[in-house]
Order: sequence, then C-alpha cells, then structure tokens
Amino acid sequence: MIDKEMHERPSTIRWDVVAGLIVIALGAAFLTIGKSLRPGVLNQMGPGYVPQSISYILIALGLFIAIRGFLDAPQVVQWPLARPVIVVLTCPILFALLIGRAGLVLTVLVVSSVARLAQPQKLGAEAVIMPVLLAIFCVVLFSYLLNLSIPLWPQS
Amino acid sequence: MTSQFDHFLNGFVLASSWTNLGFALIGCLLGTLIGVLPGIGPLATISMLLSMTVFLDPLASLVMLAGIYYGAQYGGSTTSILCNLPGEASSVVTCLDGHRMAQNGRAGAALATAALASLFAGCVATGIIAIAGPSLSQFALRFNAPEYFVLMMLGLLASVVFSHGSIPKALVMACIGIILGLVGTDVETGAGRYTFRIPELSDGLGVIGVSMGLFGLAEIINNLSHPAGRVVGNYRVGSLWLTRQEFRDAAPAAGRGTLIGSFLGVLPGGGVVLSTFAAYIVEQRISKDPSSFGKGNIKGVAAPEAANNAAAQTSFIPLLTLGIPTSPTLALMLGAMIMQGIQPGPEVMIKRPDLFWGLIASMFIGNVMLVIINLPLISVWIQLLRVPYRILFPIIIVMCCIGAYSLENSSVDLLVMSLFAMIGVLFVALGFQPIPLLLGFVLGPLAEENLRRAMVIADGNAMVFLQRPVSLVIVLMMVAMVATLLLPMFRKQRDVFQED
Repeated sequence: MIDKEMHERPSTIRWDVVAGLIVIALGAAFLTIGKSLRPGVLNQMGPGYVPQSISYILIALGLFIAIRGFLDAPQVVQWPLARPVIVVLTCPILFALLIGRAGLVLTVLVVSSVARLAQPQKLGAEAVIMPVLLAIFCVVLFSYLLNLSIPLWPQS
Repeated sequence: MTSQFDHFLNGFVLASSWTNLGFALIGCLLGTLIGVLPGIGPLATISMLLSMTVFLDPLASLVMLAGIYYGAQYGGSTTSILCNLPGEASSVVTCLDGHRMAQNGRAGAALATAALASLFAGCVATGIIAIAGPSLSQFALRFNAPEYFVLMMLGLLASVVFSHGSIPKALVMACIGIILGLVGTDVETGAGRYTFRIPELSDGLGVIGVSMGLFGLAEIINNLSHPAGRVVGNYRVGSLWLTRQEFRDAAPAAGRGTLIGSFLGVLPGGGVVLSTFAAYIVEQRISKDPSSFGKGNIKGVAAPEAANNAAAQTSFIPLLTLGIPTSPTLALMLGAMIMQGIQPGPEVMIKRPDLFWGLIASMFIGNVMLVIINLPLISVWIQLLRVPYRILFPIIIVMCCIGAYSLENSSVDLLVMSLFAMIGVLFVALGFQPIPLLLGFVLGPLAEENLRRAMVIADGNAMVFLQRPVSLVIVLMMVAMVATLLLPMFRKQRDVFQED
C-alpha cells in the first residue's frame, strides 16, 4: 500500500484505505461479538436486529471509504505525539488502580504529578506546589462541598 | 393561560430558593471559569461539569446545568473578543468586530455589549419557549413511535450533514455511536448486549465518561501534540459603559439578532452557528456603511451575540417538547437529564410541570446572574486567560478522573473514559469527527426503542413512515437535507458550521 515514490514527507500511505479497513474490522467485530443476539423479525425485533443491521452498514461504509481512499491521492495524517497519548491515556487507569486503596489525597497527588509528564516540564517548585494545591482544592470541592463518598486517606 | 402563568410563577418560586440560586451561581461561575480557560472547548467543559450535577436533586441539577451552559457560552465570547480565539464555532463571527473593538481600546464596551445583548436575547427567547413550549407539547402528544423515530433520525442526520469533513466518515461515527449506545441490557428482552458479562456494563456506557474521554482528554492530547500559539492581547479593558451613540447602534442590532436567532435556533444541526452568520450578514446588508464592519462596528458584536444566545435558547424547544437534541451540547444536556430520571418530551410538561417551569425560570435567572456576576469580574477572567496550559492540563485530567469515578464509584467508567480518549485521538487523526458519535450514542437507544414500537404497531410495514402525515413531512425534510449535500455551493460552506 505504500507508494514507491518518496516525497519530502515519507508518509505516502493511503490512510483512508487503512481507515476503511479499521471500520470494516469494527463492523465485523460487532457482528461476531453480537452473534448470539437474536435478530428477530421486522415486526417483532429481537435484541440483535439493530446492532447487526448497523454492523453491516459499517462494513459497507468501510468498503466505500477504503475504495475511495485507494482511488484518491494519498492522505496526510497529523498523528498526535506518542508522549501525551501514553501519559494521558494512562492517567485514568492509574487513578482507577489507586483510588480504592490510597484514598483521594494521595491519588490526586500521584495522578497530577504523572499527568504533568505529558509535556516536558522543568523541575522546580511548581512540581510540588501544583499537585498539593490541586489536592487541597479537590478535597474541598468533592469532599466538603459535593459530599462525595470517596475516602480521603488509605483504607486499612 | 392563567394556569400556565401560575405554573410559571411557581417555577420561579421553586427555582429561586436560596439553594437553587446558589447552584445557579456556582454553575455560572464554573461555566465561565472553565469556558474562558485556554484550550478547553465547551463540550469538554460541560461534560466535565455534568458529573458534578448528578448528585443534586433534579431541579437543582437543571438549574446548575443552565448556569453552566450559559457560563460556557459567555466564556467563549470573552475569549473571542480579547484573544481573537473563538472557543466554539458560534463565536467565530464575534471575533471579527469584537476583537477589533478591543484593539481600538473599547474591549470593555465590546464585552458589555456581548453580555447585554445576550441577556436581552436570552430573556426574549426564554419567553418564546414559555409561550410556544406548552402548545408544541400538546401537539407532540399526538406523536407516536413512527414520528419519534424519524425525528431522531432527522437529528442524527443533521449532525452528520453539518459535521465537517467527509460524509461517509461522519456516518461511520454515527453508526459506532449507535452501537455503543446500545451496550447494556436490552430493555425489552433483558438480553445483555456487548456487556462481556461485566456487571457494570449492564447499565450501558455512561454518557459522561464517553464525552469526557472523547472531548476532554482527546482535546488535551491534541493540544499538546499540535500547540497553537495563544496570545492574550495586552489591551486595557477600558470603560464598560457604552456611549449614547454606541447604545443607539447596538440596541436595534441586538433586537434583529434576537429575531433571527430565535427562528434559526429551532432547526436541527447548525442552527446556532448559522444564526450568528445570518445576523452578521443582515446587519452588514442593511447598514448605510457596510465597509465599517470588520473594523470594530459595535453592531457586528451585538447582532451575532444576540442571535447566538437566542438560538442557543430556542434550541431547547425541540429538546424539551420532543426530547430531540439538535446539537452536541444539548445531547449532553439530554444525557444529564436522563441520568436524573427525567426523560424530556411532551409528558414532562404534564407529569412534572414543576421541572419544566423550574427550568424556564432558571434560564431567566441564569441569564441575569451571568451579567451581574460577570461584568464586575471581567478583570478576573482576563487574568485566567493568562494561566499557562502546562498548569491547566494536569488539573483537567484529574478533574475528569474524579468526575468519571464519582458517578458509580467504579473503575469501569475510568477505563471507558481512557478508551474513548483513544478512540477520539485515533479517529480524529484519520479524519473522523467525534460529534456524530456523541449524537448517535445519545439518540441510538431511543431511536431503536421507537423503531421497534413503530414496527409492532405497523406490523412490520416499513411504509408506515410515509403514510403518517407528520412523519412524511419529517422524511421529506431529511430528503431535502441530503439533497443540499449534492449542491456544490453548500458543500463549500458546510465546513464553517462544524459544531455548536
């Protein structure tokens, strides 16, 4: 799928073909996972009727996008940087792992410090002050004002 | 009519209890606060703050939502006037003359005009909702499943047509949204769909986690990857008071903008955005000196701001009377209402008039409160504009995490949020727009329910949608919408109306 002639940019991949294939794969995945759902008939639809119809529509759309992408000129894609993607996507997972055990205060301190890594940061007072202030703010807002039942400190 | 007025007064009494006023105040403040902060769009703002309203009682949460909604909008006009950066497509037009006014040293007057024009338009449009809402609901009570199904398809189609970029890709996103919206226990048969036997998924994916991932976190990743220079002009705000001449210019322009906005706001899709452009063009056409537009003409601020707010207000009409959201922001509002156990639609007005009229009253209160608290605080908001992004984004990430976790105290919502952030980033990079996904997600399950019911009523005859007069009209509107896509002129302009 990669064009032989290299321009100044090496990305001459026809990304719409890739996008179309992803959509087809998604449609196929929805079909396979939802295989056990009974479709029923039009005047008595089962749980699978709409999901399966939509899956077929997805596959058709994916084919259309892929074919058109193949006929068009290669598409330029602006990929996001790996660093923010990895850090930002990890934060909720880290939060999920910590919050049940460490309590709100420690979790906020850790997650906000990790979140800062999404961008190259200078070491300095800010690295300490920002998470601490944020933790205080979160405790006041969520624990005292909104009365959420999230424990503040580690549970034994 | 008298009983309606009673309801209206009653709504005011309910909405203006001290606690509810307090929530309106907090909502306005938070909405503006996050609305003016750089790099956070209105959808991210609202989805982040939605999670805080879930714990309140229904009316208080509606009141706070209204405050957030107006606050986020007001924040958008502030940034477009002061930094030439529209937070959302609906304040693009305000930049043209508003930012020039700021450069001419009249930033204060521009901000005051925006606020007062919005207040005027908001009050008029809320009045229109109060008058038109009940009778429309009466009409909508005669709607049955087929009408609702085609209406929902119309809303979904509008989000596809008005999203920018390729139509097949927008359709893909809408389809993915529908399937993801169907995750959970099927209401009619009790079968678990795409739940992978995870108990937390049997209630379906939460709209808040989905939208915070799709808009909040994905936005952060994109901002960090492609940093855009954001320069806050070092303008003196100057006097907030308008001169007599400015007022004489701005007032009729605001009136015309209100009219245009109130009409166009009801349309699905790009109604709000469209109204700002329409109002601006009208002002320019009827002006004796069209060349003064774009150079800091106060009419060019008053008219689109009024139109914007009036349309944002009347776009609640389809939501409240039919339960159909016409924009992504309203889709989030619908999601929040459903979480409160309120299913907007004609029944709400009959079964829970307190909620409907309480919301109307809170719209008035929100509009007034916004002007009262914001004009004196303008210098505070300007300071906020200077907060560097490197401090902001970790705060947003943490707030999104707490918001997602607090909904059910479960980690599943956090994982869902992370997953959707990934979908958002990947698909946006490949040229897919996330907004049809959100509308499909919210409308999908409702549309399926109505489709099933319609098919049972019509005994599987798909022609039923063409045989009932109201649904035939709606189907014809859909056909017209698709037909406009084929007009090359419209295709070129479509890119402007990307989101509300």
